[in-house]
Amino acid sequence: MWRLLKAELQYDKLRIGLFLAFCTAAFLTIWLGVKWERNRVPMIMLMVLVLSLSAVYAGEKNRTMKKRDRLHMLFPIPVWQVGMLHFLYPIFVLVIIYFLLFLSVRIARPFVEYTPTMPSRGHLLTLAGLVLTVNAAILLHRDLRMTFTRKPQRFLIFVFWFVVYVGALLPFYVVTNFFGFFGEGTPAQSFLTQSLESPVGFVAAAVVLSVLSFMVFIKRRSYADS
Amino acid sequence: MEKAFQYQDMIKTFPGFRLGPINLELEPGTVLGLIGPNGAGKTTTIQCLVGLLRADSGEMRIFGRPNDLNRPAWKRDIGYVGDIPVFYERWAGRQNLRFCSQFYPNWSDDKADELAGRFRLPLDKRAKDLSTGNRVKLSLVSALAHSPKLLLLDEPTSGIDPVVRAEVLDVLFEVLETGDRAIFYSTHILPEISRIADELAFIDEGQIWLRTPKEDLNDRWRKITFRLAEVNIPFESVVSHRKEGLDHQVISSDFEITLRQLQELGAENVQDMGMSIEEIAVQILKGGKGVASA
Repeated sequence: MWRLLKAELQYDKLRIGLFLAFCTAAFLTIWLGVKWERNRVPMIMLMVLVLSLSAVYAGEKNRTMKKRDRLHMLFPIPVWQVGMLHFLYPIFVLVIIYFLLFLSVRIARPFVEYTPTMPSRGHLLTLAGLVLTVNAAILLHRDLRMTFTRKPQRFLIFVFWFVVYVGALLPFYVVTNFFGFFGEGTPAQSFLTQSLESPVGFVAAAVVLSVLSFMVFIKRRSYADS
Repeated sequence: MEKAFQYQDMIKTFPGFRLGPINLELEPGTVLGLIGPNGAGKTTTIQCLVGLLRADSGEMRIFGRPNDLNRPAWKRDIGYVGDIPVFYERWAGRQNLRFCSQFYPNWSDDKADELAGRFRLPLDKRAKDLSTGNRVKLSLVSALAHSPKLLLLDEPTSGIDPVVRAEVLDVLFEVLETGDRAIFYSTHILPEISRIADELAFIDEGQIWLRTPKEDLNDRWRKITFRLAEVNIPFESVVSHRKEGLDHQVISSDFEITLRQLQELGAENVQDMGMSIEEIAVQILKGGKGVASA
């Protein structure tokens, strides 16, 4: 498993290196140039989120397009190790981004008048949960499509994921008072707001979806096309 | 002695296609050619064995061990060259081989270098810059460098031009002749397989219709011409029958039986001619499945 991860990271080292250099530059610009303060933490989180998701998605897309699961499945290693790779890669990317964020705060501190503030541990966990949830959802969708190949099954999968993806957009409606359902002070709004602020929900969702996706991967009907 | 591989009632279904039940086995040191047209089920048969596809039912064993994806020690005994060679595209051939070598205790760098030399394979070129023929060669080197006891070749030369194909096959046959490994070779290019196989299995529409030693086919199948007035005769062991006036031409899957019948019927000018494996294969897959499998 570690040999596979090492190979993937080695293979993507230029891309990952450029990406991390961009992250470092962005963080330093924020602290030293734009001087975002504590009240801009959500913006930093959003930036980290977008960066992580694009890196994870690009890595996964590339691996699928080049059929590297197929290559790995030919080696004498258990199927669960091949499955784990899909989770280790984003976790590695996230850990590095967090490390850079932390490092950039440390570097910036002596050079600015204010105290640059890292997002709290809770925020970082929420972010990690969100990134891993999206990663697992993408994997699960792909694996379900490869496991259930009959037309009615595919249709059900399409309907299920359509609902999931639309549902994932619901939190954004909180701020727009969508149809009055998410109006100020309604239970729906407070539930969504709380779950957005609490890491537990997202971490739990990430764990549940990742385990589910992993189980589906190791039971897949085909490893020939990805 | 353990069989190199065994399929027992293996079934795999896709929408609109069903493979099996497949019952097939191979003795160590034997070369079995799997012959069939495109879409017959050759690739699916092999991909189920190597674990790229999961069979719906049935059992498959490699040297006595079930092809369990969670206990993959059996994969050390196989070398696989698929229809689509997959590599780390931006890595050079040598780097790809180095990566593969980590997974096989029997891997020999010397052997890999020797094979690459014989194939005249530029190992310093990136995989994505290699021609189709060279990608097949790289795939063959990676499949052979750990000296597998069973080699699975799934149409390795499809899509490459005849010159490169001949070059690949010459080296491949030379390498294969020196080893004592079992080989399962699927192809629809018949001259390839007739050079190397000890036995042939014919597959079409997801079914294996016939499995026979290659020599038996050469011995038993004949093209027979004769003159006979009688028209509506049910010939035994005949898979194809053409008639022009009193002149007949039949293709027999057991020429001794057909000749005996013709003698009894009083046929004149009877002549029998040997057939190539290609001609026989075409007849079997075109319409002689019933006779062939009887």
